[in-house]
Amino acid sequence: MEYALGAFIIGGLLGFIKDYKASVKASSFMALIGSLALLGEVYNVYTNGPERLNLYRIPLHITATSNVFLLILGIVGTAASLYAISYMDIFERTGKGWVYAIAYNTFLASMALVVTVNSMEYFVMSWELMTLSSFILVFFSEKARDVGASVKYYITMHFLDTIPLFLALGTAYSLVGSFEKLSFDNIATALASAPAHTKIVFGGLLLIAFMAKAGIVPFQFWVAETYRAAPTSVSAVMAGAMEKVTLYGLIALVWKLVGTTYLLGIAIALLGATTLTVGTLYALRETNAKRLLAYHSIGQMGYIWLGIGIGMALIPKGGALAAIGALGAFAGLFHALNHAIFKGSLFLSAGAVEYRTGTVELEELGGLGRQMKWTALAALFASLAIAGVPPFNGFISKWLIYVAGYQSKDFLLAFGALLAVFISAATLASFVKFYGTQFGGEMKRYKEVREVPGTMLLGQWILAGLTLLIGVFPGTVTGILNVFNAPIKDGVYRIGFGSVLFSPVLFIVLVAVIAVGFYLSFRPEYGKEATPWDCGTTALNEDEYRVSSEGYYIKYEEKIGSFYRFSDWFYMIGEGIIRYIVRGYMWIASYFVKIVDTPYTRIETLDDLRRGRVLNADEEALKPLIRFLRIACDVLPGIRLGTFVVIALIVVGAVIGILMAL
Amino acid sequence: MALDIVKLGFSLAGILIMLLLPPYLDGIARRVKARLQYRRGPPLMQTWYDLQKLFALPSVRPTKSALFTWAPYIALASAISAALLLPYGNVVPVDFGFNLVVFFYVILMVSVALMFAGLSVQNAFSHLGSAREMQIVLTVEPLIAVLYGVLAYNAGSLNIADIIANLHATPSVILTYILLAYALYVESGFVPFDIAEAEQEVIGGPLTEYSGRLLGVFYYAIHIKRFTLLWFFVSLLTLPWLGPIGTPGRAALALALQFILTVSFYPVIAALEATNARLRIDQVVKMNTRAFFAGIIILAMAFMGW
Repeated sequence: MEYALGAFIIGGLLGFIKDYKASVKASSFMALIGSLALLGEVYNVYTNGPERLNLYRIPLHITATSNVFLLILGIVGTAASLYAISYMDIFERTGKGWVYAIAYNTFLASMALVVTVNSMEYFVMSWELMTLSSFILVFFSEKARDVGASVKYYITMHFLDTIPLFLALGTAYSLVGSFEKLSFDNIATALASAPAHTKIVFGGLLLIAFMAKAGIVPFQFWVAETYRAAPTSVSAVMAGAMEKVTLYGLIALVWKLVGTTYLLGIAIALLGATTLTVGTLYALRETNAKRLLAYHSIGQMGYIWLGIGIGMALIPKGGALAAIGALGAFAGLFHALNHAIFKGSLFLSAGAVEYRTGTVELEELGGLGRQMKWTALAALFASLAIAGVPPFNGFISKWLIYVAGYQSKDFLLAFGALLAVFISAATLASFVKFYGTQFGGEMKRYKEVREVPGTMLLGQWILAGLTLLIGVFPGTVTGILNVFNAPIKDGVYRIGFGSVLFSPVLFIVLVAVIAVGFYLSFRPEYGKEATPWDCGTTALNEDEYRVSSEGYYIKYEEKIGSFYRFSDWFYMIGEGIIRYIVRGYMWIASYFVKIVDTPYTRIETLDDLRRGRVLNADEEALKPLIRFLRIACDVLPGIRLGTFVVIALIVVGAVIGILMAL
Repeated sequence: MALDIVKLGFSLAGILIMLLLPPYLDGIARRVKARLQYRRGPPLMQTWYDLQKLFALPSVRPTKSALFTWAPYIALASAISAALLLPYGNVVPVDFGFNLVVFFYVILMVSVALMFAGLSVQNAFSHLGSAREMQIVLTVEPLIAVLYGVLAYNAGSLNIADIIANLHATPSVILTYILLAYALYVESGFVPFDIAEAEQEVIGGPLTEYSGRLLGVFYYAIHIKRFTLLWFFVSLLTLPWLGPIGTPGRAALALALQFILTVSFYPVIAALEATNARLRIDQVVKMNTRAFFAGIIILAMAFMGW
């Protein structure tokens, strides 16, 4: 752990190298070393059991739960940092390598701290550090639209994360009575004897904070633009790791500290079910690759919350249902790991396409499958994984969530599970589009595109390879993941619960043997080559001879239009609130800018502010005096005796008046 | 070891049925359709002859994409794997996960391969076909998910063996059978739901660019997929009510019943196909959405114990 943090600190300091490329590469490399050190720590804790240590006077307690999240962070951090070594070149014109170096390394380090600290104080502090550094990374490209997105992100986080977390910190303080003793153990003891409403307040505040950060349904409006704006390797870490940190909060703080009831569990599960539906169906009609992935992050977080919710609802019930609950919670956690892996991989693929073509708009892309073979294959693996197609990892965890939901004997949970099955199809639909529009077909426009550099490919393939590896051998990770002691059956070649089993090894061997066997015995014979059949058209733009990304599921989207209208309405409320808060901030900020001097200037975005000259607060305070002195300087030289006498008389009169009054 | 020989025998019978029967079933359908139109119709072997001919022809190559070449084989392997997961008598040839969700996903892989195959070529027709295929899956899957919910609640497990052993007759189960038949019919892509491959509209959809042997492999995969879905339905329809199947004799009886029902369902399907015209995609979406809400009512009934 200390090695990891040390590497992140060095990585941050390396940003001060003058040359942009060198600083970015060196700091990404140190971030890679740090992430690898985190993985080493995971192995250490896995073999030696939970560890308590004091790091630079910060009390850490690496429990089995923390370990899962360190694993997630380590894997995503490794791949994304490796990838960033080459990828960050495209931001060279911003020329601010040091900003990236410090913010990126701080971001990774703060997440590692959030999931390991054993003190409410440091938890909140690291959490804020995480929000701040991610905010800086989001506006790193400095394009106007991105800056807007980052401000929205930060202000949303401010209101929905910082405030509840500080209030929760205050509640914890009032319970324990000392800032030095705010360790989770002490809070747990204090909460045990606390009245019920204190628990509700504490748990509720934390829940709001975690929901907002995870993008759970009423708070999902900030996610899409934020992930689109951030550099792609950072989006991968945000979607892969930062969202999962909220899950750590949910498990370690809400569930373990405050405790759970059946109703709370049902609420979490239903929030999850709603989120997965809303997030994914919004993703279905998205045509920007990164926004599409962002909406899927919301959707997949819904799956995870559904799984955890099943656990929180059923474990208190005890007996056979508790076993199903533990299965649900395990599946949720498993899905968290899987989601980190395939979503990270997908973001990296989108970034690779962006690196070579300069765009992530699906409408413009196409036919990259031949030029970028390995990227395409990685994207295909990850797409199949997120869509839950066997034998990739997404299937295993989703399937366990379905099993838990269907067998829960509870209508609401079963309903959640069937929504999850349905949304799995929507996910598939959306990723058929994601893959098809980018890599399918052949386009003349991108004939010259080459494959991305080796480090970027390696970054993608670490994750894409893991989707298949974990999918075929889930036993490799179930040991670390099973913190809920779910009675899953996992041997070398099968995984399951009770009599419901699946053997991915057998499945993949079977499919491979049949497919290859048929291929070898009936090899495809090719006659002539021909261009695709276009009904004999003479003037056809071959690049546009395809279905545009908007047109894929247009009929379906029209038919479920009422769903979109209904959800848009919710979306508008959330966004409206944030917009007015942003307005409020702008209104305050406008007084620090020269614009106020010009009447009738509307201040609506940050850009409006940027046009004006910035004034500093201290300058403002002294301004009247300076103005007076300036006027005095202008006036004094041309003054005549008569005027002087009049002024002197007024001054003397004023002085006498004041003295008399006293 | 005696039991193992019995098991082996049933597995072999299953594999033979699954590999040989599907094109014959199509032959039956063609004959029935012809008779409904006062034609004589082709021999039962005709679909086999067609496949044989396609296998003998080289394919035209519209793209160098490896996905284009491999997709038919993956589709075929998935269809066969799904078929191997079903009970023949009481024997499952290869049990890699004998439960509803795994079965459904493996059979879905045929569609997945078909869609990716269509998208690997630069052709608007095949893209359109792929998108249509996906939209059908998108509307059928929630329906099937609900029906699985009813079956799982009724029998207490997602495992098909448990469902066969524990399913008890309630009104909701009967309604589930009806809707499941509808869902599987749509999933099989029979007329009027053959929107994805609509020959006259989108010149074969995802199959537009396929020819020769590769097309033959795809057709074979689609026939096996249709057979598998039907066999799945027939198994769920018959096996729970036969009582415990202990002896090889009873298992043989069960297999015979499955076989006869499968073969006799096909003329019904053919009659439906011959008397219906293809629907538009939005009509299918609408119908399936309604069926989904009906399914939710059935699920609620199941949870109330009906």
